[in-house]
Order: sequence, then C-alpha cells, then structure tokens
Amino acid sequence: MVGGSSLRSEPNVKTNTKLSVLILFLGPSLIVIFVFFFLPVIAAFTMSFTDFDIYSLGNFDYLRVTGFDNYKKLLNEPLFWTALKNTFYFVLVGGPLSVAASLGTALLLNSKLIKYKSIFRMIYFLPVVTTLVAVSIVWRYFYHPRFGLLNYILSFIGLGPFDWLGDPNLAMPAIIILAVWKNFGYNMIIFIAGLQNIPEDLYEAAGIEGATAWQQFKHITIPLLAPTTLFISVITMIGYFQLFAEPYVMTQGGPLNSTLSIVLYMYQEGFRWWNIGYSTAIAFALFIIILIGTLIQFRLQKESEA
Amino acid sequence: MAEVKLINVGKIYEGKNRAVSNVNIEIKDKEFVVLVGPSGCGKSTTLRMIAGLEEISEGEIYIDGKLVNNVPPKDRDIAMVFQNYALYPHMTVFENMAFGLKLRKFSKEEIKERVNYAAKILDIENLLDRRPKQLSGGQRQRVAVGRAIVRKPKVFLFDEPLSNLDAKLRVQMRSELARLHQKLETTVVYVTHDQTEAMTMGSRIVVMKDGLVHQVDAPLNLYNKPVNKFVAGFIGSPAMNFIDGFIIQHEGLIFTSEKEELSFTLEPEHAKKLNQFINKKVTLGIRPEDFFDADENADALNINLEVVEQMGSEVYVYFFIDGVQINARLKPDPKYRHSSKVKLQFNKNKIHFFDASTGNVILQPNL
Repeated sequence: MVGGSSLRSEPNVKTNTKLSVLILFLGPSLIVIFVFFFLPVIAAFTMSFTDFDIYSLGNFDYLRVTGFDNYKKLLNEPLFWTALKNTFYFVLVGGPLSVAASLGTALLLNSKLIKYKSIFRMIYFLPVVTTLVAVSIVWRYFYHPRFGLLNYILSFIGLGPFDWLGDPNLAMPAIIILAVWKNFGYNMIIFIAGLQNIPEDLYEAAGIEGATAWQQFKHITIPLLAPTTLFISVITMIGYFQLFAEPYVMTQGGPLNSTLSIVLYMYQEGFRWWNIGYSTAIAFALFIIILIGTLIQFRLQKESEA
Repeated sequence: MAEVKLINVGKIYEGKNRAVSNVNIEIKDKEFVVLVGPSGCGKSTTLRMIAGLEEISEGEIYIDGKLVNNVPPKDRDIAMVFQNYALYPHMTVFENMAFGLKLRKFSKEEIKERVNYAAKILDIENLLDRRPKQLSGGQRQRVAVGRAIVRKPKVFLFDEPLSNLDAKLRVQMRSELARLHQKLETTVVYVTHDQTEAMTMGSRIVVMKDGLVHQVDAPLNLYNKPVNKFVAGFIGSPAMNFIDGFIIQHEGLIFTSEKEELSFTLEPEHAKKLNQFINKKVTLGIRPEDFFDADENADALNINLEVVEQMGSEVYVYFFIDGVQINARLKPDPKYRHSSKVKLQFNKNKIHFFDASTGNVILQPNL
C-alpha cells in the first residue's frame, strides 16, 4: 500500500497517504478523547464565565455571561479560603504521612528477614480495594466518642475520651488517619516495585566498602528511588487535593467547616445550591493549584538531580 | 599483603541445598588464584563467602591469619569487582571511586590523591565527571576496578568481571588486569567460567564442579597432568578427546575401543602402570594437538574427515572414532578438506588414561 520508491517522485501523494493513515489509526481514540474529555473541560471552562444555575438549566434565556465575576466572588468568599486552608492542611500533612507510611511498609516487605511477604502485601493492600464509603462508615463508629474502639484503646493509657469527629481541632487529623490507612497500600506496591528495581549488588558493593545499613539507605535507596518517589508524591498530591468522600460521609464538612474541602465546597455549591457556573470556577481554581503543585515537584526533583 | 585460607568450607542453602562442600584452599600473599568451573559449580558462592556476602555454613575462612567467619564484609579489608560492575548510577565516576573512602572518613586531599592515582593507572582520568551510563562497558569495568584499588585492600575479589565485555575487549582487559596485579602486588581471588581466562591470568587455578574442588594447581600442571576426566576435559581449548575402551592382554597390553575402531599396543612403561586394569573399562584421552599427519605410516589411522575448520595458522579437523566426535589440531595442508580421506597418528607418549567408573586418572604422560 504505502510502497516507498514508487511514491518518492510524488511527495504530495506520500504526505496525503501518511495523513490518511494517521487519521485512520489515531482518529477513533482522538474522537473519544475529544468527546469525553476535551468537550466537557471546554464546556465547564466556558460555564465558569457565566451565572449558569438551576434557572438557566430550565430556560437557557436566563443564562448570562458574567465574565470574571465568579472568580472575583471566589476570591472574596471566606468559605472558599477556609476550604482551601483545610485542603492544604490535608495535603501537606496527610500527603507526606501517606508517602512515609507506604515507603516504610515497602521497605519492611522488601527486607530479606520478613516471611510470608505475599500475605502481608495482601493485608496492607486490602483497604485500597474496599469501598471508601463503607470504610468511612465503619471508621465513624471507630471514632465514636462514647462507644468507639479508638477511645476504648486510648482509655487504657489514660487518654481521652476524644470527640474525634466532633472537635474542630481533631476532625481533620481523624480524616487524615483514615485517608492514610486507606491509601498507603497502593503506593506501597509501587514502592516495592521501585525497590526491586535497585540491583542487589549495589548494596553488596556498598556493604563491602563500609556502608552501614543506614548509609546504604541514604546513599543508595533514597537516590535510586527518587523517580518512584516523585511519581508517588505527584499522584498522591493530586489525589489528596481532591479530598471529598471522607468528609462527605463522616462529617459533611463540619464541625464548624473544619473539614470542608475544596471539592466538597464545589459539590455543595454546584449540587446543593445549583450555582453551577460558580462551582466550575472553583473546579478551575483547584486545577490551577494542582498544576502549580505538580510543576513545583518536578522542579524540585530536577534541582536535586543536578 | 594477606593470605587467604579456606578450611573445609561448605555452603548449605536453607538447610538442605548443598552448594559447596569441603573446600580447602590456601592462597598465598600476592598470589593470583582463579576459581574456575562450569556454572553452578559453587565458585561464585565460595568467593562470596570470602567476601562475607554469604554466610559460611561449614568450615573456617582466614584472611591474614584472622578468622573472619563472623566478621562483616566491611571489616574484612577486601574489595570486590562485580560482574555487572555495580557502579552507583547516580554518582559520577569520581564519586563512585571516592564513596568507600568517604565512608571511612578519609580527608578530602587524601581521597582526591588516591582517586587520581587510580584513575591514572587505569587511564580514566578524563572520565571522572561522567556518570556510569555515559560510559562504555570497558570503561565501566575500569571504574569498578578503580573503586576497588583506591582503598588499598588486603585482598581483591573478582566475580566474572570480564564476562559482559565483547571478545576483543576481554582479551585486552585480561592482560591489563594481569599487569595491574603485578603492579599492585596484592592477593587476588578471581572467579570465571572461562578456562582461557583462568589459564592466562592465574598463578594457580582451582577447578571446581558440583561444589567440590577437583584440582588446585598451576596452569600448565592442570593442562599436562589433570587428576580426572572432568579437569582434563574442562582445561584446554579445543577440549581433550575421550574414547572409551578396554585394556586387553595380548602379546603385551593393548587398548581397544568399545567398537574396536581404534586399537593399539601400549608402550611398555605404560603397560606396567595399567596392569591392574586388564579387562576393565577405561577412557583414553588425547589432546587435539597430539595428532599429527602420518602419510607413509602403515599403522596410522585411516580417517574420513567430517568437518574442517581453517584457522589460518592451523586447521581443526573433526572425524568419528567409535561414533565419538574427535577433534585434531593440525598444520594447514590443502589435503584437509571436507570428506577427504587422510592418515593420522597420535603421540603415544602423551596420552592419558582414566578409570571409566570413577573418572580418576590412571595414567599421566611423562613430561
């Protein structure tokens, strides 16, 4: 079909053939991506410059283009800043905790001293595959101020009782603990894969040269795991910025909005008050924050490599 | 400056799989000893036990007179070069070589001096700022060696260091390592599966198979006086030819192959040594180079050549005796062609005999 020499004299034919082949192969997937990804994104982006709400949903004549009004409102809305602060709290405390827990268990499970590794791996991975809503309900009982298991355990060492989900200072830490427990297994698997990619003889060589276990970890494991760590940090950060189900099920953003996250705020604005235009503006604000966060992490990684 | 002594050393994995048994080797100071054998023979395990990377299940290992069974690798004062070089990919060549010195808290000047000295010896001074992935295989190998020599250890351990290099580079590195050993005057234990490497580099060779040491000797002694059929077949390339047969008494002693395609009268002095093997099964061993052309000789072997390999300086011919492929190494001659008929003879003073049941040598040539 695309014979080389016979077409060489007619460059146009070749280009056209090449283009049609490209369209033939890439077309279907491009169409799917366009319809289901770019189209909604563009529609939402457009919507964020309108006052699209429940009235315009009924009759499009009520729709008005409001320019940057939604974004201006956002910046002047104290609740948005509260949600932003809560989300950052969750990402900056929960994210590193989650990565550290994953790395810690991955190191343990990669150790030669551990037996029954696959059983432990399965147990640690179980929370990842359980349904978040179901798990959140179970954890709500776990955190119960009077009958909760956690307070019961703490009572043995003379602590508590704490109103985990009712105290504005404890609600976010409680959600962070749940989220870390739920997620660390996934990153752990990726870390284990990363650890297994480090050749054993590097450790042997370092051991012969005089490196202690800690020095081997510092000089070999950490630097060689850096690409894995970057990947995990980025996906964890992106995921954690989208905190929603845990507070939605356990606290509805309370108490005193102390667990209101940006996505929960967006959900409430969009689907409780039907301010769809405004809630898409929140979504794009979050998008920009995540983009900046990702770029910063890539830059940090590059600098540490140089 | 160190001797390495292995006494009855054995390795058993997980309490049942025996990898090495009863290894007794005494390596003298400044000696270059090569452990050689087919894969799975336990040579690498033995080396790793000397390094401290494998626990010693049985026996004792001494380095410089000190029992090291329970001494961690870093305190054994050894350096090891790995098959895959084991260079730290995130460090430059300089950092790779300086790593061990830094851990041992050498001063910056001392580190610089030692690394530069090693780099100079190995001719890698211009590579010090590069990362391992920017280097060729041969360069990486030099860096790995450099990393070993900067610490001036008592013993160097090499684990198949040349097997990842191409043939030409391997020959070159072979002589470079030998030269380096002469210059540094350190004890070296070198593991390889390549008998050519062993023969050319080692001052003594330890031949291993199935976890057992078969023979420890200088290269030429191994070649000329192998103690059993395995060593005889393993050392030397092309390998020694083996023909099974019997010793028969008939006007003196006669060797005759199983299918009687080869039969000859033994020299009187050989006959004396083979007396007790009359009517017993033995294996005759003939090195390929001990065949020679015998055009006019009446009792020469009449041979149909199956394959002829021209090497330029010599010619390898292959033929069958008793259904066993035999290889002879001859002077080039146009008459050696595929399926041509020639007359060959072999040097009866240089033949070997092995007990067919045990494989042990029963007759060695007098050299």
